Amino acid sequence: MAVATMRPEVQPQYPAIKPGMMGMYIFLASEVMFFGSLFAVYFYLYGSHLVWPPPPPSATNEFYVNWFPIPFVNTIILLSSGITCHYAAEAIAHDNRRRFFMLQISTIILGLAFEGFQLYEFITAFGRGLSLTANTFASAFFTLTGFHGAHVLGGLVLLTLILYRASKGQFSSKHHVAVNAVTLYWHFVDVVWLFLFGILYLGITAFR
Amino acid sequence: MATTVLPRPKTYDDSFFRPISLWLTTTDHKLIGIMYMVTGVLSFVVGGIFALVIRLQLSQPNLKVVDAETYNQLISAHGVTMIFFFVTIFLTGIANYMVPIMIGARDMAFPRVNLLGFWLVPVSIILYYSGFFTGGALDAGWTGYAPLTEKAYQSHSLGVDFWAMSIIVWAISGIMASTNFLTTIVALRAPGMKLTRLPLFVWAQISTSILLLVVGAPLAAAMILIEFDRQLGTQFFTTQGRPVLYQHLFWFFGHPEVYIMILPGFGMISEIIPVFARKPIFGYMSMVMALFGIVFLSMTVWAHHMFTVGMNTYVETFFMVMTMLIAVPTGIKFFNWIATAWWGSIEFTVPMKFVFGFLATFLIGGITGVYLASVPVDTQLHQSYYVVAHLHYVLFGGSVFTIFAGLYYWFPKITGRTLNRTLGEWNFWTLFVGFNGTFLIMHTLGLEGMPRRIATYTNQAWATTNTIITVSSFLIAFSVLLFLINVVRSWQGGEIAGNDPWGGNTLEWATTSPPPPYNFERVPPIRSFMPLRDLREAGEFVDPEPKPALA
Ligand code: HEM
Ligand SMILES: [Cu+2]
Repeated sequence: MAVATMRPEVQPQYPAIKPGMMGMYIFLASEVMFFGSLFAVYFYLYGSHLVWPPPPPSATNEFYVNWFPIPFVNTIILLSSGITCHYAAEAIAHDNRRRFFMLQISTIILGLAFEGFQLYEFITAFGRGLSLTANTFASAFFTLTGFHGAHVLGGLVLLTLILYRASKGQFSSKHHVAVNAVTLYWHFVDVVWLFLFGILYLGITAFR
Repeated sequence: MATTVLPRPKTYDDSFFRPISLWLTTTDHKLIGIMYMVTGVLSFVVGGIFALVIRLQLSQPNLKVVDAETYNQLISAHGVTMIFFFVTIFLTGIANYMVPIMIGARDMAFPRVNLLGFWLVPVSIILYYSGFFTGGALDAGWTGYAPLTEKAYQSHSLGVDFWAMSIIVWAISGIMASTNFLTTIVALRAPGMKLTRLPLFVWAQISTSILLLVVGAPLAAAMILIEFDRQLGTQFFTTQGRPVLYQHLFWFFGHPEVYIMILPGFGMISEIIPVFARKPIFGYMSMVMALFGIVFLSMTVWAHHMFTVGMNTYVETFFMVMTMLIAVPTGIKFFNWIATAWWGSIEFTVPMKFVFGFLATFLIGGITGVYLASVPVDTQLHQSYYVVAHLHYVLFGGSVFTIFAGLYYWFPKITGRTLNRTLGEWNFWTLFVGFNGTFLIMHTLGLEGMPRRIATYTNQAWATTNTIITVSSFLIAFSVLLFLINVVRSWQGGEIAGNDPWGGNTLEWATTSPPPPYNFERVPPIRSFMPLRDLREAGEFVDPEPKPALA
């Protein structure tokens, strides 16, 4: 007869996937729904307007943001940052710390470049009267790209935190769930951009 | 053979008077669960007081207890408080307490996220009520339809802005909790606790968390867009934009939300009936399947709240059919409960009384729901008291009765003391009578055409009915008062419950009441979805201070 001991038992870990990583996957499901609903709003507006996007107030051709050059360059920047981010996580998994720092820092620099370009694009757009209040398209355009930009910013904060923690030596080949989780988040932000680029930029100014 | 010997129950008198700093910073899922539940009950009281004022106003035609402006704020605050701050929050609390214990875990997967998620709730509540002190709270009903919430119609106060922010915070908190629940249930199960051995309450919590995870973000998006419209001048739901779009976004959250509020209750019913009927649940797998059927269907029915906004007939038919389909999995669950109780040796304890109260009232609510799902019928009944009757039969007779059942059932585990039985009986009967007195005749009022959300009415023919309703609503208030007295009295000096007062089936009864911070000194072996019953039948379960069931 085994009488209970006073020491609590260690928790078993059921599946191979770590809770931290699983938490990120589950959380991203709600992020998908968030951007999904903003896209749904966009398509609802699209479907309920006779002319889409609504005609610009003045007869300028260059009213809406063109897909080239800045958004296109931004796409390349963000995609490359996805690659550097991936290999950074790979590096820490092999205890290659030098490589990790290099790649992680390049990811952050690329992310900052993206944000800079995006900001520049917004400011020039405001300059020619394309702002949140211009019309329904503009409202949706800035809301979608704005929330994406905010998510990139959030990703940058997380990446920096990871960098800081790595500099304190908190990650190793055995222990790097946080690195993987943040990488996953960064990839998600990447993928959202691809949809934005296709729908809001290419769809409006390239294939029309 | 290994026998599970439980430690002796300790004396509990000191357990709940902990320093405030501990309550503020604890990451123990049990204490967080209690804080959620207390927040929920307090909101229940506040929302109830709003309801009483509303009922006083409507007790006779042409009354002016409050002016129409205040009345609109009161009905909105009543709805928001009950739905967002009471039912959902309370249920999150009871799941927070019970789920880790029922799966044999020590705590939630992310204890600090749990703490943060909880503290966002008071923030959300304070944000909402701030509206009352800044020129008037939300006054467009709990649904807050655009363009009533737009600047063009509502610019005199910050109430709408506070509401939108409050709901955003609430949604974030809900998403945190759902992520945490799902991760905990998948990753932290004790050895032997396979998915097919999860208690049905845990399955219900999985379904609820999936729903909230999926629809929480669209709700936040709707609120954000309202704020953008109001503060940044965007044109989403304004009259130049598309006001009906708001309804789509809101009800894509709103309908699943009603299942978020009932599924945990379904789970509790599925736990309580087998214990007091002394029979295993009938059709475990079909219960799980039905839950997932509901999860899926409930995301495809939202526009049944919008049959009168002028949609395409085919779209209306689609939503009508999908809505009626929901009655199928719900019916499966219902018949399984009845089959579980059938031929059982039923003990009519207080929790069991609430279960039967639930079965009776929820049935009526489900049936009126199917009527409302029919487009031609709903065109007549939409925005009438019939809808109010329906929603209270499912939400009050449904969710709130399950909450009472769950509380009477688990109070001994949470506090170590049983709720007083006599007061419990009074609580049940006054509630049951008061509830039906209040809401049953609302069906007739609705059929006669009394609209909902009006500050007063002139038709003398409705006077008597409304007076009966108001009197009955005070009986409900009396009942809740009895309940509160019972909780306070029993928590301090109730009968010591022992570890397993009811002869339970699930793991929470295999530890002390209340459980130690780490929940189990040793998780008993798990061989089915009723681990404790297995042990008891195999004679391997030894409770040092056995308590006969408090029949
Ligand atoms: C058999 C299942 C159900 C069906 C077929 C059903 C159907 C409906 C329909 C068609 C409406 C819209 C009525 C109108 O506004 O004209 C409605 C309203 C409502 N239902 Fe249900 N329902 C069901 C179950 C539930 C459950 C389980 C709950 C909550 C626990 C619930 C809560 C509500 C609420 C709160 C409203 C009113 C929303 C508002 O306008 O404020 N229903 N239901
Ligand atoms: Cu509904």
